[in-house]
Amino acid sequence: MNSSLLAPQFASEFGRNSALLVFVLYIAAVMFLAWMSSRLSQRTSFVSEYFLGSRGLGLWAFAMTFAATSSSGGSFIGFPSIVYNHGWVVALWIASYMATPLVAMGMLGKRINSTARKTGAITIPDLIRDRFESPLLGTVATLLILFFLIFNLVAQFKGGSIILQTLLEDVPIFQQTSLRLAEGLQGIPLLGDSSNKPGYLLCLLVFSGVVIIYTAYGGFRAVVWTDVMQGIVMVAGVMIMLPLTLWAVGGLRSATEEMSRMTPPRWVMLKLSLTSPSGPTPLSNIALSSAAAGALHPATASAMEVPQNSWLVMEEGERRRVFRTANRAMLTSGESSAASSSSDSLTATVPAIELTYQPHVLRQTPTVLAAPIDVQVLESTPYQYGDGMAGVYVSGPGPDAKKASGFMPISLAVSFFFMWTFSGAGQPSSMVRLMAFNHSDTLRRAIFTVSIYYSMIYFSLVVIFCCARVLLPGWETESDRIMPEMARVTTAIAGTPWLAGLILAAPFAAVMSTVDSFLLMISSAIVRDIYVRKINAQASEKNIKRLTHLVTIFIGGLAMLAAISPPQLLQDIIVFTGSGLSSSFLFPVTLMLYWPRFNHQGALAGMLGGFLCYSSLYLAGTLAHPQKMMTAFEPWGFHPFLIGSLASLLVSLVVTLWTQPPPGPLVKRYFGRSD
Amino acid sequence: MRDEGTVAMKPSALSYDPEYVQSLRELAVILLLFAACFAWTICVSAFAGYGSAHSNSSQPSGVASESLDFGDLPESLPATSIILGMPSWVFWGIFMPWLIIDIVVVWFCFRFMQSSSFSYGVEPSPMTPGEPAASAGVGNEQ
Repeated sequence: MNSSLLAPQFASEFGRNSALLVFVLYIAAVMFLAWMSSRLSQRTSFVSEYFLGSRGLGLWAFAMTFAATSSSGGSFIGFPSIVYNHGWVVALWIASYMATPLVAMGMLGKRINSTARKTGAITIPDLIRDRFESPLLGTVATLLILFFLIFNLVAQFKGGSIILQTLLEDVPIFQQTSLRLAEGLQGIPLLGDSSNKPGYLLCLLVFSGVVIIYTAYGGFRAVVWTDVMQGIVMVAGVMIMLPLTLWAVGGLRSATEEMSRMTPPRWVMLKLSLTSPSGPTPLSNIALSSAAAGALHPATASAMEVPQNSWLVMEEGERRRVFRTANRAMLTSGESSAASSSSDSLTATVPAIELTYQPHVLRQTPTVLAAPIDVQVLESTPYQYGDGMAGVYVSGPGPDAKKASGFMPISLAVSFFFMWTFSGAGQPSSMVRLMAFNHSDTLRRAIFTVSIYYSMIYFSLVVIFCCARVLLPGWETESDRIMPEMARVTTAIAGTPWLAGLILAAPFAAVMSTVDSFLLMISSAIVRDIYVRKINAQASEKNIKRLTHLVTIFIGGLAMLAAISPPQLLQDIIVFTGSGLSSSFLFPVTLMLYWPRFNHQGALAGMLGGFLCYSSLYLAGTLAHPQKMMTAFEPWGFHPFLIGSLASLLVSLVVTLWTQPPPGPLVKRYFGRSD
Repeated sequence: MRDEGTVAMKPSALSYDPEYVQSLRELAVILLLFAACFAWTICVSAFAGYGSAHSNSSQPSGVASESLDFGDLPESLPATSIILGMPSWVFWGIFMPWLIIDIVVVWFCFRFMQSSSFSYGVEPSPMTPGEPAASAGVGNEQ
């Protein structure tokens, strides 16, 4: 099946508008849930209700909020991109999700819930402070959470906006509104600078506005209820997409067999020329749109655009070469080279990939452009691992364009197996959910529910995006878009383009469910752990409520402003902050729940030891490779999370055993038999 | 902050809460299950899933070439056997343990893990401002 021929079909008007319709319905539902939650909170204590849902979460609310918060935009954008680029080996990369619910929920759930009830803790810093009766520990925990989460929030805002932009970019009303917004913002400091990316800015304003309003208005319960809806949207999106994909590709066996014959593409640098008929005759000619030939003449035109992801086909006698541009190229008269220096030619250089798998090469049709152009290959760079190797997409370590050891050597597989499971367990945003379920039976059922949920989502995503390699070749140029493209293609093939909107809501739901949780954690850290604990312990509930709303809006607004010109390394920042929190909190929190001898000196040393070790590895990596920010030094190939966590454990043990045991009554309170 | 007058207690002198002891048992089982998943998945994948890719005879691996000659592609990869549509190493190394752990989770959650008689469902008075911390059983940090 030639999927590229489907492109005009799946961009149908109906399919495009369905994304907008689904989005509007989705936002309306989110706002309705926030309103409901706010009404409920008026009947209960504000602090407990707003930050912890009065510890009353039942099975579905608890299971879905836990699962949805763990699944961020990376699960539906970054992860599909990785599967697409590296093939079946990514199943091993994600395999530890088989045990993640058991470990992340079962290891800490009962103990953290019962301890929080004993202390009356509302937040994680609350819990740590009260468990050890140490205000210093609570302050350190608050500062660590603020440090990591504020960075993360900016990155998540950017991710959410990009996903929304991908969803809506083909909708005419969105395009018009974006342009009007850009015109209106011209000259305004900071906002005006972003006028060259009007779609992103509009999405950022909409995304931020919605998240800030419903989080500030509805609090924890609104976040949980929207998480339930978002969790259902995610699993529904995947479960719809799976059969559509398998049907489109002719079955999983067929896809895997074809993958076993595939070879990776090559990265090339192309020179594109629009040459006058009287100019020099190029050595290699291309045919793009013969129908469009003559539509644009270099003698009269000043520039010509070749869009990103254009297919360029070069015919050399019997031989056919197929390229796909990785960037937008603007052919102008400013460029010239020895090969084609001519005053009346428009030229541009652009990075691209060249397909090497012959069936894809033979069936790919070129993109229709305004005029035929010439293509010259200036440079060709093979994959460092996997070039010319059949079977590389169905075996380890998987192809990699940059690493000679392949995508995932077995040492890295070991790292990731530990990392996904224990990093998830050590997230304060996960821990605070474990404080909120209403009964231990809820925990038992939720572990089972989330296990099934993860099995359905993650293994299915591997299957879907392995099939995407067969169905949609050439998306190495912009692999972060493979999820929306697959949604559009599979629904178009099945004759149900309206379903694309529902499927595409899944990644948006994933990132939104993460952002709202982080926003609430930050506001709880500032209001509960700093203002009430340190500044005004006698503040009235009314004042706290007002301050909480203001802080949520202020922090959200600040993150939105920072996200207008966000750092480039989105995924790197998310990994840095998520793993950093776990390195700092996982072992101190686990030990405080299970080890009676553990004392506040050990907990403090463990948190700071994990944080400092983890940060030092990132600092060392960045200093060693100043051209690549956020690069970690990885001793023996192990991720800094593992090293940082082990350092935290070791320091916790040593310092605890080196110092006085905790007071007897404190130990008895949390570990002793109740009289 | 340590209360004045409190004394350190040897954990061995403490009569442990049975629910805490049960939680420790559950923790041990969880870690054992994780270790089993880890050992199975990594061992099977490492032995059966790595290194079976091969170069096309006409195109040496890792060599850049301006003029590509793709030659005759193999009909299928000899080392790849497929079970239920996935490479056999994925089936045995990832899909099967995933399926089995899901079944074991049923046993763990509904047979082994015990309900707690702790006062779940009873919301302790939340530590609202103005309310003494000790009323919720919290040490006063002021």
